[in-house]
Amino acid sequence: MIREFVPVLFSLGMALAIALGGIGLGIVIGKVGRRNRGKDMAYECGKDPIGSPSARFSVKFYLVAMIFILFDIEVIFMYPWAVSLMGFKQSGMGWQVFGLMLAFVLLVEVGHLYAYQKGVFDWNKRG
Amino acid sequence: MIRWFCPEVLLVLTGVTLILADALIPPGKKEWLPRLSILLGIALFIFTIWQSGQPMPEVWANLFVTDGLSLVFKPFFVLCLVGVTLISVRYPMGREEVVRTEFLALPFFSTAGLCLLASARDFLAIFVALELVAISLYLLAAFHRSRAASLEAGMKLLVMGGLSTGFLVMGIAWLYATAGSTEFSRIILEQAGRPASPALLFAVGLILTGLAFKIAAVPFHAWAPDVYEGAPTPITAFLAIASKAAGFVLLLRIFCLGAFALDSVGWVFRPILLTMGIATVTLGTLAALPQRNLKRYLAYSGIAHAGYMLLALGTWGESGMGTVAGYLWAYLLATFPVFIFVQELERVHGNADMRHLDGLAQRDPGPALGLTLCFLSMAGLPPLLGFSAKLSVFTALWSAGEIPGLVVGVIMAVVGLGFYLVPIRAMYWEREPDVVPAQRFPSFLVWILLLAGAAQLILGFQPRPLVRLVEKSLAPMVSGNLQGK
Amino acid sequence: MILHAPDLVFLAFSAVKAVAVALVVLTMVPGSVTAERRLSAWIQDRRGPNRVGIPFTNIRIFGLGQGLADAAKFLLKEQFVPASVNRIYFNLAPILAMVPALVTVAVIPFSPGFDLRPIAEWIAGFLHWDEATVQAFQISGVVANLDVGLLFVFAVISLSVYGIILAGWASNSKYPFLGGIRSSAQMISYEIAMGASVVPVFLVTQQLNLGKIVEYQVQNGWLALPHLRGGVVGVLTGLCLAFSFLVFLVAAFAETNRLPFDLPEAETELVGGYHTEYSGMRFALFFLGEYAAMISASAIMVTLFLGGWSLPLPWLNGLPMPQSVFGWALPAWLAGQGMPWWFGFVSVGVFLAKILVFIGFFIVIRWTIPRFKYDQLMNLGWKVFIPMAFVNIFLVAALVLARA
Repeated sequence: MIREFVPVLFSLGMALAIALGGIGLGIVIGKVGRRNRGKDMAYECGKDPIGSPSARFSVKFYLVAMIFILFDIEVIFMYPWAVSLMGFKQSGMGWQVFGLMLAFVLLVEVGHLYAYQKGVFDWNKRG
Repeated sequence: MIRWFCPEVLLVLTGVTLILADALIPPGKKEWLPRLSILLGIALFIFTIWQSGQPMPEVWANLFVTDGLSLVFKPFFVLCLVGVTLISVRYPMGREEVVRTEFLALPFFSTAGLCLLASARDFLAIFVALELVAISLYLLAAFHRSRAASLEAGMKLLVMGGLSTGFLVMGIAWLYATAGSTEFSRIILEQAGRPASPALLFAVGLILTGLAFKIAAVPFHAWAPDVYEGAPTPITAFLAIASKAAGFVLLLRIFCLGAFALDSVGWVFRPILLTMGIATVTLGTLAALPQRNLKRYLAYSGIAHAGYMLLALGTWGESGMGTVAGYLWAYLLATFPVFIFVQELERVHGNADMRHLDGLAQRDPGPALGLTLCFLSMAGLPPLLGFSAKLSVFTALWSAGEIPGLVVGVIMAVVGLGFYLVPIRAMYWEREPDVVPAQRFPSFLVWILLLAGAAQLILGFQPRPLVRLVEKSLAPMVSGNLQGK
Repeated sequence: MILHAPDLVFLAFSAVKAVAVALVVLTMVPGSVTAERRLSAWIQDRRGPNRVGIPFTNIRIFGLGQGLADAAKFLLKEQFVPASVNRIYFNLAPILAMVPALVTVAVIPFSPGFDLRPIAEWIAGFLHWDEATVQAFQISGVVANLDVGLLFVFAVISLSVYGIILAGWASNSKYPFLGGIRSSAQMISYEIAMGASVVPVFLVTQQLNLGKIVEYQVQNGWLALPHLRGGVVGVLTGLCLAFSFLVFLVAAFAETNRLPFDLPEAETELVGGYHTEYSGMRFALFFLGEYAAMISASAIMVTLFLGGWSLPLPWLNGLPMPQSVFGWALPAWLAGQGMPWWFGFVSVGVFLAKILVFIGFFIVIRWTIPRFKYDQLMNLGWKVFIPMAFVNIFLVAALVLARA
C-alpha cells in the first residue's frame, strides 16, 4: 500500500526538478540587467503606485472561502458513501443509507439556501 | 422509524425550520417568528419530558444510550432553551425592532447538541455533540455586533473553546491509542482490573482539562467573567447554566458511569478533582466579593457553584453523582430568574451595574423579594432549596471522609453568605438614587421572580420532587435495544 | 527495510515512467502553445507563427519550432524580481503553481500495462534472475497505482490555488493582489462543482482507483455515453453521467483559469492578474502550470468519462461484439479480454489522441466565447452547478439502487 506512494515521490521530485532547474538555469544564463527606481516599482500601468498595495476587498471573498470549506468537506464525505453504496445495497440497506446521506445533504443545502437568500452569492449588491 | 422522533432530531428540525423561515420570508413579515419559536420551544419541552426515556434511533445505538442521566437532563437542557428563548425575544439589540431569527434558532441547535451529550456513550459522539453546542455558542456570544464587548466575548469564547476542544480531542486520541476504542463500555472492559498506564492517565487528564474549561473550573476559569459580561444576557444564562451543566453531565458520565469509573483512574484523579474543587470554591467565592457588575458577579458565583459540584464529584461514588444532579437542578432554579431580572435591568438602565439595585425594595417590592429569595438560596440559607443542595454536598463529603474538602466548603459557604448579601443590602438598605428611570419593570417579571422565590421556599421545605428526580438519574442504563420500537 | 530485486525493478520502472510522463507533458506544453497560436490565427482568418522550424535549416514544419524558441527566450531574458516583493513567497509561488499539475498526472492510467516479461525472461537467461524478478516486469500503465486515486487528484489540484494566491500576495502590488483573490475564490467555487460531479462515477463504478474506473468502462462502456445495456434505467444513468461530464468540463475550464473563465488574468481589467510582476523563467512556470493543468484536466476527463486508454469501439459501449467484420474474425482483445503485449503501447497513443482532442477543444472555446463577468461566474457556480450536481448525485444513486 505505502509502496504505491513511492512513485508519487518520483513524480514530485521530477516536477520540483523542472521548476527549480528552470529558475536556476534562467538565473545562470539569463540576461543581467540594471535596476532602477522605476523598474523596482509595483506595476500600475506606468504611473507611480497610489496608496497601499494591499487594497481592501469585499468581505464576500471571506464568506465564499468559509462556505467552500463546508461544501468541500461535504463532498469529500460523499466519496466513501458513493463507493460503498452498492455494498450496502447488497446487504439490503441501500435505501436506508441513501436516506441518511440525503438527510445530511438536505441539512447542508438548508445552509446553502440560507446563504443564497442572504445574498452571499450576489456579487452585484454592495456590502 | 418512530424512534427518529427523538428530542434531538426535533430540535434540529425546529432550528432548521426557523432558519429557513427567516431566509424565505421577506423582511417586514417576520414579527410572528419569535412567538412561533417560543411556542415550539414549549412544545418541545413537553415532548422531551414525555419522550426522553425512549431509546434513540437504531443507527445511533453504538453512540448513544438512554439512561437515568439522559432522562433527567434532556428536560433540563430543553427547559434552559425555553427560558433562553423567552428572554431572547426581549433582548435589546440596538436599533432592530424585531429580534433576528438566527438569534432564536441557534440555541435550538446548541440544545440539540446538549441533549446528545446527555446520552452519549462514545467519545466521538461527545466530540461531535460538544462542537454542535460550542459553534452555535460562539456565534451567539458575538451576536450583538454593535457592542464591542459582545464581539470580545465571542472572540474569547472562540479561542478558549478552541483550546479546550484541542485538549479534549488530544485526550481522545491518546485514549484511542491506549484503550483501542472510544466507546465507554469497551474502555471499561479493556482497562478494568489492571493498573492504569501512564498514557491512559495522560488521556484522562487531557479530557478533564478540556471539560474543566467548559465548566469554568479553576485554573481554567479566567474566560468566564469576561465572556459572561460581554455576551448577550440570554446567552450568558445559557452559558452559565446549560453549558456548565453539560460539562458536569459529561464528567458524571465518564467518571461515575462509564469509561473512567475505574479504581485505578480514581486513585489518581479523586485528589485532583477534590483539589480543583477546593480551589474553585475558594476563588469563586473570594473573587465575587468586589464585583460591581451583576453579570460578572453571577459568573464568579457560578464558578463557586462549579467548585461545590466538583467536590461532590470528587467523592467518586453514587451519592456524589446524585448530589451533582440535584445541585444542577437547584442551580438552574435559583440562577435563571436572576438572569431574567438582569436582562430587564439592562433594558431599563442599559447595563447590569449593581448600583441600579439601590433602593429597589422601595420602588418594586415584588421583584426585590423574589430576588432576595433566589440570592439566599444560592447562598444556601437553611429553609431554601440551595441549602438542601449544599447540605447534600457536605454529607457526601463527610461520608466519603474528605475532611479538607468539607472544611473549605463550609468556610466558603459562610463567606459566600457575605457576598450574596451584597445585592440584598443594596436593595433594602441603600437609599434610592435621585434620578429614577421612567421605565418600569414589566409585570410578568414580578410574577416570575415571586414564583421563583416561592419555588425556592417550597422546594426547600419539601425537596421530595427533586429527590425523586435524582433517584431517577441514578437509574441503571436503559439499553438501546431492550425497549420496543 | 531490505530492497529485493522485484522491488528494485518496480522502483526503476516507476522512476522511468515518472520521468517519461513529466517529459511528455513538458513537450506537449510548447506544442499546445504553438497549436493555440496557430488555431487562434486560423479562427481570426490570419496566419499564425509558421516560420520557426528546425534550427539552422530552412525546414519549417508548420511553425512547431516556435515553442522551443519561446522557451529559449524565457530562459535568456532578465530574471527580474522587483524590490518591493516578498522574495521567499515570490519565488515559491510559481513552483507551487506548476508542481501540482505535473504531480496529478502521476495517478492517471495511460495504458492497461506493459507486459515486458518476454524481454525479462530473455535477460534472465544471462543474469540468473529468479522468477519473482521476472514477474515484476509486468508493469502497470500508471506511475502510481493509488487506490485513493481520484481523492489524491483533488487533494493535489486544490494545492494550485496556493500558488496563485501566493503570487498575488507576494507581489505586493494591486493588480496581482486582486487577481489572486479573485482567482482563489473562483477556483474554490468550481472545485465543489467539480468534486460533486464525479460522485456519480463512484456510485456506478464503486471505485476511486482510476485504473479500475477505466477497466470498468472497458467492460461496460464509456461513462459519458448513454448505456445501452440495462434498459431505461441504464439509459437514464448514462444521461445523468453525461450531465456530470458537462459539469466537470465547465468546472475544468474554471479550474484551469481558461477563457471564458479567465477572470484572474483578465487583461482588460487587471493587466496580467496574479503574474503581472513576474518575468522570465518564473513567468514561464505559471505559463507551464496553466497548460499542464489543462493537460491533466483533459487526462482526468478522458479517464473518468471517455474510457481512458480504451479504443472508441461501439461494442465497448454495451452493444454485442460482432463475430466478424467483412468475413474477418475479430480478435477477443478488442472486447477487452487478453490484450497482447504491444497493446499497452498502442493504448498510450489512443490516450494521447483523446487528450489532444480535448486540448483542441479548450483552444477553440477560448477563441470563440467571450469572458464571463465575475458575478455571472459566481452565479453559475454557486446557484446553478452546485445544486444541480447534488441533484444529479441523488438521481444516480436512486438509479443505481433501482437497478436490478
